[in-house]
Amino acid sequence: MSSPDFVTYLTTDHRHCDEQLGALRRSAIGGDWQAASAAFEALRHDILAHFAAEEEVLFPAFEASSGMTCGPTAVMRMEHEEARELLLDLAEAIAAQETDGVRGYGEALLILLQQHNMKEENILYPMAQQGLGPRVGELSAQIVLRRET
Amino acid sequence: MQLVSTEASPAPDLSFAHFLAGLAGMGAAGILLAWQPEALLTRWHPAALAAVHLFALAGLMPVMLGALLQFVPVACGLALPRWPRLDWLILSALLAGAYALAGGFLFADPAWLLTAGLLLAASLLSFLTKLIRALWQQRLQAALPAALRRNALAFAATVLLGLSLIGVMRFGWALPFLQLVDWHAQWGLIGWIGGLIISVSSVVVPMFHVSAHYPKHWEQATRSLPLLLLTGGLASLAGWSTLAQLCTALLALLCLAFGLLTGLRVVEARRGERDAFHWGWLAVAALSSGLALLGLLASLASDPRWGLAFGVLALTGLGGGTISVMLYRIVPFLIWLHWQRANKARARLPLLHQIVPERAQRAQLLADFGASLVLTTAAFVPVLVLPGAALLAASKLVQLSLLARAMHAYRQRLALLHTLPPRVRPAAGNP
Repeated sequence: MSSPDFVTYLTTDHRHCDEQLGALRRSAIGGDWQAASAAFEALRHDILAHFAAEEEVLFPAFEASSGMTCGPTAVMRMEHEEARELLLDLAEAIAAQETDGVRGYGEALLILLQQHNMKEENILYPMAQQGLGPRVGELSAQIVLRRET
Repeated sequence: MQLVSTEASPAPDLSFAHFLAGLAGMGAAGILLAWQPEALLTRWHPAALAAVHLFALAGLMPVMLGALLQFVPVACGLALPRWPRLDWLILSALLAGAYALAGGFLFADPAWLLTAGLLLAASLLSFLTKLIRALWQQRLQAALPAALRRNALAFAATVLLGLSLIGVMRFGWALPFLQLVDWHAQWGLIGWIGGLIISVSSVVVPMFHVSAHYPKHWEQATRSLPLLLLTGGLASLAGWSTLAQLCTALLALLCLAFGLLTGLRVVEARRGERDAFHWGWLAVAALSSGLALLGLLASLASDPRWGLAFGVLALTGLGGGTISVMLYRIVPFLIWLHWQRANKARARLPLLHQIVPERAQRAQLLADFGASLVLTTAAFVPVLVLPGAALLAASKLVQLSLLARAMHAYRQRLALLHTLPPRVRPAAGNP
């Protein structure tokens, strides 16, 4: 079976992570820390795997096809680092069972990811798709493979 | 094509100045109405005209422009040209022009009107140039830039119609005055303010509430907004009342659909929070549905008070209310983001919902929407103008104080963060 187009795949994955973040916050606010911890582990794994698929497969391919190494991908990598910092903050808040911390860091992560995803979905992915031409299918398969490893 | 991140968007100080000035302008309009409560007896009362233009031009406009400075780069990936000194001049001229216009109406002084016209033309057309250059330079096919281009055209139409009105009043230009007034109000309220709220909501509501996107058909339907305004306006000028009423009914239907679609998305939000942002957006959705009904009644009834009530609810409720809700999202996030980026020491920062205390947000929003409803009712019950206007002024000034305190804390903490030595933290690496 052929892999889905990487734009559709990564965009769907963004929505999937949003849902997981919502589930984490609902559990923490409801005081179910076991469920919150499980939701966080799933969220952390999926976000980091998504970042890895972009940083190790998509961005290098985009940089090679466009010749831009300090442009869009540099900004995206920086925002990934900011999200990683927030995951560390969230992990600490969950370990200490701090509802307020989960609310604050969770909201910050949500907004940060939303504005980041908007730029990827509206600008970077279409640019990459256009620049890669017939290699899109092959690259999509590599992205899916890295994301689901 | 250029991709821009939040880092490439303007420093928040310029947007913050726009936000505070806007809240002060809306507060000033409330104070003016409280001082002259008879103003709401007719839309032609000098104090009513002054208050409306204070609210719209010294209030809503700076906040909308300040928000666009941040929103366009992030949401569309388009850089708005930066003119460091000129940007501050544009804001100053806008405010000076808005207050001069209010003075011109209050004191029936043509010299003030002319001064206001020159200042407003210079500032608004400069900003429009900046916006149009960004939106048209890169003809992105995505829905949002296209919607913002339509909003920019409505903005331009409102400004040009307003300047024509000043020409009629100051120089006696031979133009259909009453028709121009109606067009100016319709393009400003529905085309520019309503259109921008619809465009921004189509992105912001699904994203920040974690809910379904608006349907594809909705995006297509909103494209008809300027066309309906144009057709309705021309039909009205030509005396084709059936066509004009049909356009009004379709505009009301758009407004109702916006309220219902937005309300549904907020109710079904999977964000996991029932905070001020959640309730605020529900209030915006409910107000939009109410506004649709008022708009329809205003077009059918011969009683001009329905039109007055529609204008008050559109300006203070949909315009002022949406802005109040969004400011509680924009300002704390910008503060937190710039702290976070300067926080090489990994010091513990205030949480996002602590930057402006959430209980204060809820109380202020309750007063804000309450004031809007009281003032709308005051179109029929004049005794309510004074309490409604006083509540409106108080709620806007409270929000001004809350945000100004947050911005002061932002500057103090930012300066402190720059002095702290960096600390390395174990990284959350890829799996």
